[in-house]
Amino acid sequence: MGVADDLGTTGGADAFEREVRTVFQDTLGLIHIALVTHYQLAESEALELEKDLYVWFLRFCYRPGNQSAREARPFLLVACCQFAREYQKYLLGSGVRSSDEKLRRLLEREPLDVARDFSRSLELLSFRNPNES
Amino acid sequence: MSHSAKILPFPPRSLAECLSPREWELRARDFLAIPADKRTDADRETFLCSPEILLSICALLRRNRDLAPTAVLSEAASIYQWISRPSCDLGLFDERDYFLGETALVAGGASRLVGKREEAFLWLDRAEAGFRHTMNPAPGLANVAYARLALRFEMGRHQDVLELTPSLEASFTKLHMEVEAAKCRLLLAMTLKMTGEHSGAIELLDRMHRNPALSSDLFLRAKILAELGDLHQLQGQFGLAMEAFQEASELLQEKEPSPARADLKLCVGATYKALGSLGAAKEAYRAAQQEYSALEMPGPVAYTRLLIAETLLEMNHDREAEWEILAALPAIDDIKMVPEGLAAMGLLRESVRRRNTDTSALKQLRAQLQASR
Repeated sequence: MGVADDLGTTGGADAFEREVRTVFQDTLGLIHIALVTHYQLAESEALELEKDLYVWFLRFCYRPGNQSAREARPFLLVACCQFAREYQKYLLGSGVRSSDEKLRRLLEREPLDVARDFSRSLELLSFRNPNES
Repeated sequence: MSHSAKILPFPPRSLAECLSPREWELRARDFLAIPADKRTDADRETFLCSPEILLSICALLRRNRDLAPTAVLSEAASIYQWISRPSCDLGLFDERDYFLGETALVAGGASRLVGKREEAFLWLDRAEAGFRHTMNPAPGLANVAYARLALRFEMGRHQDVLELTPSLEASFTKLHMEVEAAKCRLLLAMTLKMTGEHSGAIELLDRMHRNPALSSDLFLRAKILAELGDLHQLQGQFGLAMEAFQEASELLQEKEPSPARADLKLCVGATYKALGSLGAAKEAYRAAQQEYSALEMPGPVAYTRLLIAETLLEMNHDREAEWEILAALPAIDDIKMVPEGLAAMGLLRESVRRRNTDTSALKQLRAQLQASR
């Protein structure tokens, strides 16, 4: 996918960044399905969003308190759903795009809940608030 | 549908995204090296609107917070203000909120160190507001909770600290934040020391400084050893106390002034005093006071002056003791005291004015300030 190709140009190829990249690439299939199949983004839109998600995820993993990129993967899915939702809501609100019932129902749901559903398929449960586990 | 991507342009990639983390840090240092009064809005746009550079700036501010709290408070506050402008478009998704939380947390910690408690609480409220809107709020909110407990400790609210610290330590452990969990144990031990439960405190701290997770945090290890030594001297175990102090001192050798080293000197002074070596105690206290002064920490400076005054009185150097008390009182005025502390300060001020220092008022005031150091 586009993101994977662009990653090589971001520099800073240390072990940490490699780990982040690997985890991102491992999750990219699921992200793409979420964006295109569920949130109904166009392929080109999804590719652009995936680039932003990688940049965000790399910086997110540098924040204090994040142990490893693999453990941070659930948050990547939340970010994915949140940004896709905001993007689609913007387009629907500005009248550029029309919605069907399935998309409307999805946009009404909290990104955290949608992401949790996606996470289940990766056995990535109980995130965001550790006290929930 | 595919043409609609043109309607909402994706943000352009920043230059810093192409740099390595080492280069982010160099840029961060470049920004912090510009004198505050010489910084232009263009400088701020260049450095602060890059999340990568801002990540490094926050890391540098965190690292320097204990070593230069006044400067760090000023930097963190001004960066927070810049980011909080409604027109500030920073980063992706939750990044603006994250950086608001992070800079406010640093400012809150630095405010506490320079004795501005009310300001510290406000900064921590701001930090909480920022972190609450981030993707992973738990680590930031746990750090805010720790900073609030540290403030409560300084205000002498020991029962609150005893009640709340174990839960926070459990949160840090769950988040795999080992260093922060160790800081909670240290805070708990310091509180047990204040409530007279010395054995429990020693039990908590013993061997903690050898925790491999703390191997890179020399200041924290030294602080743990200093507290352990102080507890031993309070129990009359002077050999064990000196052993711990020696180990702490070796960790801090050739380091710049730090609260950990100042605290260590204070503990050494207390041990000399317990052994009856008043001259050596006074010298150790004076060295601690100079370190706190260098760090611009008025609360601990005032506390140490009162310790010196007590020691001078025991040495029958009454006039010198009065001078120390008079030098300490203005800073103590600025600290929010409980009524008992205020009463003791009034008595002490009056007795010094009459050139007949009230030693019990001095002891009471010093005890009130003890947690603030």
